[in-house]
Amino acid sequence: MSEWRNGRAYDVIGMLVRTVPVRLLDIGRNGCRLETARWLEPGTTGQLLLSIDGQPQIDDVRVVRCQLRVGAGSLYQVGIELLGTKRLHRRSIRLAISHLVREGAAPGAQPATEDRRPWAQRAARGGRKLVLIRPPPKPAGSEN
Amino acid sequence: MTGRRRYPRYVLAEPVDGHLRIRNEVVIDRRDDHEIEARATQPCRPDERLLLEVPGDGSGRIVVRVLESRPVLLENGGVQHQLRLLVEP
Repeated sequence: MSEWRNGRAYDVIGMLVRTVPVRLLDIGRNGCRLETARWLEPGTTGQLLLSIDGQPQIDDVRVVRCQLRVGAGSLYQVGIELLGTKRLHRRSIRLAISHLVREGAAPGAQPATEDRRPWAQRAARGGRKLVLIRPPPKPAGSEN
Repeated sequence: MTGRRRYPRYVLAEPVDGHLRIRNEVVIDRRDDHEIEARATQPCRPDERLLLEVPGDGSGRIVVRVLESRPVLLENGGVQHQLRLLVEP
């Protein structure tokens, strides 16, 4: 199917949008690990939408790797890079995580209920806390 | 891998669910009110529900369901996927 303009044919281009449900396993300032029931091709770019502390957050992302999770049926673990393609805004995942990392940097830290910032107060009132416990333990012999 | 991550990762106390929204460009070969044929670089699963955005089209976004996804070999040896999509109300 072509569009004709000025005597020339142009392909009609469309965009197919696919929404894949994911579960967040761990997160850092520049990436995260997700779990999903669908294989995702490394290099795929898209938008990650998460509800952090009851607030919708969004960021552009890129799939770095995708591995079948052994012993979990057809579940895949996906490594995601948070892309800095847009300016930080209040709905940005990167900004939300940097706030939480700053608060939860000490092992066992909990969001301070005395914190007056709106997102921390909402967390304390809502009772649903996004608690950054500690960095995951490194496997023995890991270089990372 | 050395240097793969610049920052530490944190484990979450409660699971957080979300969505990954992925866009793939397609070339529309044929279209009527009920069915659309298009070519894509990625395959689709039969019965998968997707959104089709056609820039400049008055109908905006169209909800479609995949009827068929068939690989097609190109002259240069590459592979595209011929899609048949059902327009859903």
